[in-house]
Amino acid sequence: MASANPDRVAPDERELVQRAKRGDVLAFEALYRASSGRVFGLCLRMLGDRQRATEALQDVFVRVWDRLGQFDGHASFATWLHRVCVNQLLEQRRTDARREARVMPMDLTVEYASAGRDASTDVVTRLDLERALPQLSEGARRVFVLHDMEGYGHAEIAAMLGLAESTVRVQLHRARKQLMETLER
Amino acid sequence: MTTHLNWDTINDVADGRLSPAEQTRASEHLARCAACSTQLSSLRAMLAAAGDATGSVEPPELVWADIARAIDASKSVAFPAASRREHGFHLTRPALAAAALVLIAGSSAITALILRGRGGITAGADSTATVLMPTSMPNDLVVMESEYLSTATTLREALDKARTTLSPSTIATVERNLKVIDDAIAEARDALVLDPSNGSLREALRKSHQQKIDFLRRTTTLLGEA
Repeated sequence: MASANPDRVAPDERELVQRAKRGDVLAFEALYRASSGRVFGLCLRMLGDRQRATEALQDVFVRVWDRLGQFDGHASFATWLHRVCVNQLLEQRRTDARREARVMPMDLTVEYASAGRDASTDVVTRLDLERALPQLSEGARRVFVLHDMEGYGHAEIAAMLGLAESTVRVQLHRARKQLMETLER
Repeated sequence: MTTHLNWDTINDVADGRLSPAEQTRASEHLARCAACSTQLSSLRAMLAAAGDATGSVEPPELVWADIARAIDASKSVAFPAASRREHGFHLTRPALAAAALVLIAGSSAITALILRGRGGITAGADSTATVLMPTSMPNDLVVMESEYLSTATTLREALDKARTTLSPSTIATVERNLKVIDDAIAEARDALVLDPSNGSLREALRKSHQQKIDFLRRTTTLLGEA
């Protein structure tokens, strides 16, 4: 039976958020420790480069600290954090005209190798995919990650990127094709 | 002649975006076409892997330290209470440096950028890395510093990226010139803290800021033309 005021934020997390809002950096650090892995993974997948992902991670959490007052607890902190991260990554792309696609550096290969293997016996493993992602162009990688990994719909992605929904569909299909060709090599 | 489903249609099948009639036609084709059926299976396997590939990746340990520094820098540091009751500003330079520095964050992105400690050409008094303007200074001075910081930081980034194209002697010349300008900025700023209403000092600081911006811009432009 649903309660009148469903607790969408876990009690421990709620307390940490409230303390962080009052300026408690230790509480914020606890939130960081609990969620930074997920955020860093998202940054790595979107940016395809460890150095840029590290910088983006820092930017995200500094922004989160600045905007904690805007978090109302209606969604979970992780959900709100995820949205802040995606917005930050997309905003960074719009303002940094010097970004260029990079091949995954060797240390990132080691990173993913140590992150654990998927037990699936499918031809394409999670690890194969994460190694292939950085080889996509930035635009293709962005659409693929947002739709096929982070679960955003065509309309949402179109709104985020300022594109027509039909354009998002075409870019997504091209990204998938590029990835499959990369995986088949 | 055998026709196949095009790639867009196969994707739409995988995403469930076809109308019922279109889905029926596609299903009928897939039932008799091994090539298209295999392609769809491969796509679905990749999408399944993509759905699983949203795991955590442990970030570098030092990231939190940088975040903590940026948070700390965004907090204002109050003047000692006794100083506020004095007439005007009579703080000595050591007292100012030790107790009354305020980093003007501007935006969290700029703060993070400042404290990330990027390498490159360093400018003497590092006037583009921090803004040494007490909070009690007139707002127009604070705004002027903030705007100068924003522009100078962007230009310095561009110059840093071109560092590898410069000879050591050129780098030394650039750094020497930057130091001269930065020292002038620091002098004007320190004097203004003691006499914030002095119009000549305000103009001196403004001109020094502009000199720094012009120098960075000219150098960056010349490197781009080389």
